[in-house]
Amino acid sequence: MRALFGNSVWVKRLLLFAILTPLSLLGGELFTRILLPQNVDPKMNIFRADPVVGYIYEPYAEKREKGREYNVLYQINSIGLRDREYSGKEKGLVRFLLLGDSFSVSHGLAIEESLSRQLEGALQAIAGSDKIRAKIEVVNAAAGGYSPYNYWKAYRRWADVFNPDVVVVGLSPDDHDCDNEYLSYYIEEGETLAVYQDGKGSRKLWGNDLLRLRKWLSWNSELYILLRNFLYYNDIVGTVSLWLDTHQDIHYGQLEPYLVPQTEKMSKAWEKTFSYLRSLHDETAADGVVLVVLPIPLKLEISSQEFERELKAGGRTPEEMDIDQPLNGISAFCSAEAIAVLDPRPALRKRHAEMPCYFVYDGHWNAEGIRSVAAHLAEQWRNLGLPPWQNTSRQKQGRDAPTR
Amino acid sequence: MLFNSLIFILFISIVLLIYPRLRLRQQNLFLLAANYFFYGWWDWRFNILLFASTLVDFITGQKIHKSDTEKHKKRWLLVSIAFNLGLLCSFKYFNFFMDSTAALLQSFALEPHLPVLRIILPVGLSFYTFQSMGYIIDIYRGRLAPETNFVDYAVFVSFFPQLVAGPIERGGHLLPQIRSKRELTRGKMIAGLNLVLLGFFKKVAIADTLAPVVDNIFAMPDVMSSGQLWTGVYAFTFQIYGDFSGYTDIARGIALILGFELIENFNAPYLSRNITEFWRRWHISLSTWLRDYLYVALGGNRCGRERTYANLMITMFLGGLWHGAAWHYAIWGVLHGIYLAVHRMFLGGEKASLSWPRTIPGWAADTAKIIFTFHLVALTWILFRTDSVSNALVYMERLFLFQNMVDLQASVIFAACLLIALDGVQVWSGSHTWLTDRHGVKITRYAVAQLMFVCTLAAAIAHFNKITPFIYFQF
Repeated sequence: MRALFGNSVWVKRLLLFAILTPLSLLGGELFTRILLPQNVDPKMNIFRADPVVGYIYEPYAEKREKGREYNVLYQINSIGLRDREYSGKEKGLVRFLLLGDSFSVSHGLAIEESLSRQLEGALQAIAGSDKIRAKIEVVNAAAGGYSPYNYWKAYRRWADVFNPDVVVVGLSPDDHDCDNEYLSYYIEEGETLAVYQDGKGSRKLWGNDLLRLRKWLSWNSELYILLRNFLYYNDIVGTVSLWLDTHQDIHYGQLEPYLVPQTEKMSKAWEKTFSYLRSLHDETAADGVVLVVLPIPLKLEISSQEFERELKAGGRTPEEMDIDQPLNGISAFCSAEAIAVLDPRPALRKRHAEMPCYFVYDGHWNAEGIRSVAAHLAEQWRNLGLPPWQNTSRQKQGRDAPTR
Repeated sequence: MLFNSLIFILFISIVLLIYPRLRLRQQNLFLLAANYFFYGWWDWRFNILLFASTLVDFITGQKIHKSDTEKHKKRWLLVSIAFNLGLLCSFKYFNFFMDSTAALLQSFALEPHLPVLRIILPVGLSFYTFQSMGYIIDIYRGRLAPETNFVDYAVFVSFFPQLVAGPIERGGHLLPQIRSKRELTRGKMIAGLNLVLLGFFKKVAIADTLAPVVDNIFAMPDVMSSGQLWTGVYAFTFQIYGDFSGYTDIARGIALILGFELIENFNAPYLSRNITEFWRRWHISLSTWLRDYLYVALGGNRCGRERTYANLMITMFLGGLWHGAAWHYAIWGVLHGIYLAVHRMFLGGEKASLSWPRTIPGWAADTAKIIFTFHLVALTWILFRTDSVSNALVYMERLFLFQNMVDLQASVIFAACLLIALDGVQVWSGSHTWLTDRHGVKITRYAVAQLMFVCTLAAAIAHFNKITPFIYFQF
């Protein structure tokens, strides 16, 4: 050692630092666990690779999803959906297939409070009051982390299994996918650890190793969770983001979809998203299935406080933003493609003013949010004359059907 | 301006940027300005009081020294003491005396209409008046020559690291350091930073983490189980130690960086083997002040056994009242007076009438003594923490029911062990200033410092939006 480094005091100090740092971090971890306990992320071990969609839930898995504001059971049925078991389609049954991401699968909520169940209940109630005898089922085929590419593939995966009459796609403004064709998913211990393009990346990428380390820390280190939550939820992040914005103009946070004029990256991402939706629409139309798009607003679209917080964090002004930009884009696309769009924002804004409709820290809909959305959608559904109001039998609707 | 606030970090950064670049006289003038800025940050009117106290004691100190006769000396001494006690009585004790008198008269079915002053207690008043009084008494006793430079004396009274919560300095210790050129060395800087880190660890990581536990339990002792109440006792015992000794460490660390060595205020007090030893290790600057200027003035132990016990009780009674103008503080002080008297009566000194059997090994006896003394002190803290004597009695009553002892929180014991372990490291390494060249000690201290840094950072993040003031600021 001496031959290598000589008698340098700095080398000795660095060595001492290198030895003591892991020990200090271990001590800090112990200290945090005992005196400042945090909720580590639950290791759900709940996904498995799927050749069609990329990944689905592990059949029969039963795990608890724990967070700062929830602790709920995830029960996966025999075919890999967070839902009950389904049998063959009987006569008089109108079946909906709900596709989407964590919002649609109802992250942080029990299955009874999920969008699929609440929508099913609300539709059934209104149908009952209108003396329509159809039985309605809403199949929850959504999964956390899915994107439009997966929605398309999920339809392909489940269409023959459920033979749906209607497909509802929950589409978030942050659902834009960029260059995600030929995606592969790296599932490790039941978690989607990385998403990468075939031929352009692999599990050996440094980025994936970093992701793996972060995932591991989020499962195991309360000290890490304390630091991560602080950086995520504290205004300091806003200050740092502002600084970054001012000096490098690289950070948009959640605001990117609303930025006017739209960034090139964003435009390309939406183009890609719409190409998947178009593919999905082609397939549903070919099957005679009605496709409905449900644009899912992020919290900042509903809460002006949240919007201001994001503006502050991103160092942006309201003049640079158009909060309706994603919805306008989706509406324009759907209008051209003759796809029905149901906008839940008016109901959510009204309800959120009286009672929070989103988790405080998490940003997903809470039970109240889902209830409001489901009730509003069911009303809109009836007003638009969508199945079963239009016709309880399967709709044969092509791409040239009139826009609703 | 709290040490654990962002504004203080800005303040101390500016001070440390300018201070080392100045010459001695400039340094003292700059320090004086910084002291008054620091104190005035709470309320600029506090500075008027501080200046008045400084001016009166500076002049009376000169007068006492120049007086030819004992009679004149005593007259000027009384002027100073009357002024200082007058300040304390007006701002701290007036309403307490009025309330107590009213309560007494009401017990005789009288309905008194006594005046009540609507004034706030200036932070640190008890500390700097005691420091000034100590200076004056030392001059009167001929142990100290008065300071002739007003700026130096004003720096002595208002020195910002220890102005609001001590240690209560002695003129003979701090004034010579103010007069002479300070050596600002790298060693002192590192040792000072270590002390600051140690202080922040005790305050932020331990005391502030225990604070919500204590607040919750002491808020509703009547609905808590015995296990929870014991948790509250232990938690407060270590909260107050972490909070106060943490403040002292930060004060001593900052002073060391500025080139001053302040006196020690704590020396592993919860490792004391008896109550007398505890008071030699806890808030040392106050207990020695009370001993030198009150207990000795009352006659100390020179006037027979009964008078000695009475002097102890009076000293501790006033020591209790020094902490706060309320009866529960006074009773807390009296109880400690009783413990000291009992210890002196039966167990202390060469003529102790009770001793341990020789069959018990020394270490076992010492451990038992430490545990007993610790619990005696811890249980008496209940009176200190509750807001009334009646609440303290409710707390005590339920504490000794020993119901649901499984509610005792292990996390509090862990925090306690951390503080005790830190004390152990300090005792082992043999220097409370962290100024040492012993290689093993340096490495151990580096390791401890790094661990403390991680824990303090974690706790600071956890308590980020909630700054808890130091407990002793209210005194």
